Amino acid sequence: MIKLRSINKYNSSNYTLTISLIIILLFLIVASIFLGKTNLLMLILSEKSNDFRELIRIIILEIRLPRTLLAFVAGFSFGICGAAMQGLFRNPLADPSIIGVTSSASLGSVIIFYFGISNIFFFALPLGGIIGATISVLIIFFIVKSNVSTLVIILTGVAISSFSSALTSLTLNLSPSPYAAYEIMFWLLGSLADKNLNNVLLVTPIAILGWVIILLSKKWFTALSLGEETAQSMGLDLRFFRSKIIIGTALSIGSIVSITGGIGFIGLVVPHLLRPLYNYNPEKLLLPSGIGGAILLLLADIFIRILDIKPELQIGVVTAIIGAPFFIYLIFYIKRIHS
Amino acid sequence: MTKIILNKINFDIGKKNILSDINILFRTGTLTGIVGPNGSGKTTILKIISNILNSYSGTISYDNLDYRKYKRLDLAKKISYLPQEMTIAWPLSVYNIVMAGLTSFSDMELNYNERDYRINSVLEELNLKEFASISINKLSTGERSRACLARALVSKPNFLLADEPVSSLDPYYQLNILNLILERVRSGMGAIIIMHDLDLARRYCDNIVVIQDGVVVSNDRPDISLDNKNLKKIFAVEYDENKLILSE
Repeated sequence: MIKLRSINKYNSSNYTLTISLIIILLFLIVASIFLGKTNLLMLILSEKSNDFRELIRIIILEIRLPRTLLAFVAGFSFGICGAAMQGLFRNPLADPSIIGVTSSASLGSVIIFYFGISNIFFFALPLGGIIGATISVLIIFFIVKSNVSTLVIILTGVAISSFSSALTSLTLNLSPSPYAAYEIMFWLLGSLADKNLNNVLLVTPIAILGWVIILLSKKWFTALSLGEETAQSMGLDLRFFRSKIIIGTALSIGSIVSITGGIGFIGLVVPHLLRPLYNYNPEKLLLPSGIGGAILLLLADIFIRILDIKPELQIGVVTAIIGAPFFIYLIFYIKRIHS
Repeated sequence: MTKIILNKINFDIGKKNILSDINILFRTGTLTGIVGPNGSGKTTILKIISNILNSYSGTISYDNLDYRKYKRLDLAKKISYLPQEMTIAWPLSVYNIVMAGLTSFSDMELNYNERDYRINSVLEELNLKEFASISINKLSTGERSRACLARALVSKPNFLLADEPVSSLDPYYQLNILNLILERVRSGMGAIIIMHDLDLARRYCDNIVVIQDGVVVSNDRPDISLDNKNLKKIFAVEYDENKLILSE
């Protein structure tokens, strides 16, 4: 009994918290389907005619469902990948964007868009994002192969990020049509609105595959917090582990970014907020960070929809406005801890 | 008795030769000290034995079987490595840190209850029970070292490899940690420890390997390995009636 008590002492609060997060998430998924500029719940209660039933069906299937599903998958992906990157690099400032995946995925999609390939076949855009993310992963992978330090990986990420941003700007610069440039710029701001259900359904399994790859390696995250060499002495194949986490992140973020554009900071904010509640344990933080990311993005999206501002606020702008000051706070917080 | 045998180990970084032709035999039930000047290759030897570095030439065998024939995880269960300084990324609790020492075991090999039992036993053995739920950052340097030792011992390794485990500690914790290691050695574990303090090395080690410029100079009982001839040659010091003095 004593043994069992001592396990419970460290784990029971975690389970309760995770279950609470799941309940909040389910509630927000339902809210996201029914809330918005048109309150579907009121409409269902007040109108009984067949025409309105058809209208409600269209609103749910064509507008609300893709948007809610995308908010869930994107938020989960940003959250879990943020926690995984921070665990891998042993740094609370790490984010999927740090290894250049986000910006190279954006570049891939922009190129597809620029050349009009997205009009030729419907999954060209997500494919562009995944190809962009994969290229950055291959560069990182090539560097990881020679067993370099984490710092080199981060610096490579910064270089990939800058280069991708520069090429994206170049694409905008050379764009023959101001309308195309305008559309690309708007897409880059990040949005969950007006997405095609088929596209969302196309990227969802790819993103989920990324989560599974990350979650299957989770037991090594705590060992890795004791240092790379200590973890290696405990049996970790560091190169293989890094590759798996980077590939998982590329699949999730690459596919999601191709649809949503640049939504940042979820992966930075959510793990940081949840970490103390999970006793700073990086392996226990992964799944809750995914759920927390989905909660945050759904909340932000519902908030935007309820706000009656036209044109609708871009969600990437909102997350950046909240996230960037948070990033600065985090830098000062870490500085204070170290001093 | 289990043996680790290093046979003609050479290790280079770029064009620089770090270790040349190292042949050493380590046994369980023995505390072996490794001493030598800074940069002589002591840590490299420990990292090679703990399977962190594997781009060496030559062979290492564990229990008469070549290292390369073992699965990484299987070796990790038998050999524990305690680095000189452990920078822990998050303020993890002592319990969680010790639990990380069991990562190489699958859930089939060790279930939740068995893990908890092992962690609690080692926390008790190292007098850390009261710190179990406390963040490692809140402990003193000595307590922190004991927690790190607990992490290395929780897997019940056949060999413990420790890189200067006591060099930054107060005298109390120096003796405390070495006594804890010695107790395990007397009950059958093998220990390979890099030592800075020659007095402590003479007192605790059953065998001492002296290394200079990547070459084994001596591998013998402490009184032979650390005799005045070797001490003068390598450290420019000597014993004068049990007192270490500068040699002339």
